[in-house]
Amino acid sequence: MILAAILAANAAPLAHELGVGVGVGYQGGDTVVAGGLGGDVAYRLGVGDHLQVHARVGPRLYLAPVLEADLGVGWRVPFGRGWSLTAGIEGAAMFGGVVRRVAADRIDPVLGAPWAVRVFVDPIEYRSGPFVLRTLGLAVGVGVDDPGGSLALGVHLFEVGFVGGG
Amino acid sequence: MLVLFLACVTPEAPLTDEAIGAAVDVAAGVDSDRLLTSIGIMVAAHATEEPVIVEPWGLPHRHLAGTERLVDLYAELGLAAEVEETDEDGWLAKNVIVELPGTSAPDEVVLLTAHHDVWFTGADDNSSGVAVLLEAARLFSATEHARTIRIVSFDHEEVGLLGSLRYYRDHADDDHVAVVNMDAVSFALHDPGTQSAPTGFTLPDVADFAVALSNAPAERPARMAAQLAGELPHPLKVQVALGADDNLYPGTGDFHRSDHSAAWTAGIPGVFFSDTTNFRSPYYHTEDDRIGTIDPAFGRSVAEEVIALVYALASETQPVGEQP
Repeated sequence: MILAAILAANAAPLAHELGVGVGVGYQGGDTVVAGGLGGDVAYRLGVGDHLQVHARVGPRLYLAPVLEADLGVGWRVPFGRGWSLTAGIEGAAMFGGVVRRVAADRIDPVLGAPWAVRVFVDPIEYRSGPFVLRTLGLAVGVGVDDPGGSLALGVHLFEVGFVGGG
Repeated sequence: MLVLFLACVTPEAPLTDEAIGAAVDVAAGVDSDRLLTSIGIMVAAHATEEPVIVEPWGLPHRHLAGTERLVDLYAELGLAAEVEETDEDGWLAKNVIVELPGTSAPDEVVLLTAHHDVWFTGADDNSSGVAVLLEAARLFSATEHARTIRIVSFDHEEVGLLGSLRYYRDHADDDHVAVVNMDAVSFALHDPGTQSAPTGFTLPDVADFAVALSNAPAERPARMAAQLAGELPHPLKVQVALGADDNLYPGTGDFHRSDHSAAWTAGIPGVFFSDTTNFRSPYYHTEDDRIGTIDPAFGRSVAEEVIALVYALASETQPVGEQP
């Protein structure tokens, strides 16, 4: 809805980007532990020169296999010929192989897919023609539905994207 | 609406007050002096045996004297232990088995396991677990339980889970409804900064708790463990991890480092108790793993917990994942 309003108000040019990458995702605390290393498929929608929405999904392997799904919005800041950084906020959920933790005063496990809110920064983006390379992206946040409190991390080692106009 | 949904899927407490009371009554019989004495006897027995240096670890391994002494200790309790031998690939393994038949579901077996082979003379790892087996045998032999309780001490855990892998292979047709395994259950420290954890896991800073790890089919037994821990005569601090799939933690080896791994691989619901060994103990797999490092009060609480859990599992007759 917000995005639609922005689009309507600004009629900004759109850029669609599809990418693949490798990253680490983790959410862990007193009640859940999940995450690991794995590949990603990402879609990004650029709105104008600065606004960027992304959706990313990928398996994570360390404990039991888990699927991480991220959805976020960021602000892109160009700082040189072809170079830019993007920072914003995203939600990250873990589906599948989540290790639950219980204790004597908390015998009922947290159910459902744990999810977290994270702030992220992609500090190094380089665009050359239709191609985009990102590396060393970092996301840090907290679990939303974990009463014990949990730390959520994402490290996007690299991502290669292909941009098409809209 | 979301709150309503969550309320609908929140699982029930796994044990009734009556079941907790019955299990705790049995656990109240744990005698900490007997536990410590049993550890001492096993350590002394191991010390009489000339060790074999086993590569690639390069550590002195012992098992035969402990096997014989364990059979004697069961006999002193009036229990006939069966020694199940397998000799394969140059490794003679002697698993020691005591069976306490169930009353109404004798074909359904609840396993209580530990290993009796050691590096050096192994007080915590794992004479402490063997001592709990003995105490459990003493207490369970004086009780009635619906299911059969089979108490198994595995050989050659330290050299690759050989005894347990052979046991689960050779007993594949038995109806194992659940297994509770112990490995190193009597070492604790009480100062901040004494506990570390595997990568990705957080644990309390003070090394005075036990961990209980389960595979997915053992979620309810693991929650039973959490429920019982606070009700024991000497409550136990326990960190319980519920498995994410049938064969928990394939991506890291830390949680497969004892005989429960062979049970999990066989698809049997299993809960593993440990003091976390090298994540807290400086004596792990050294000659200093001696009787003087044992924490008797902590060991007693673990014994109460394990015995209460096994008794609760053996007193039921519905599938372990279902509420009675």
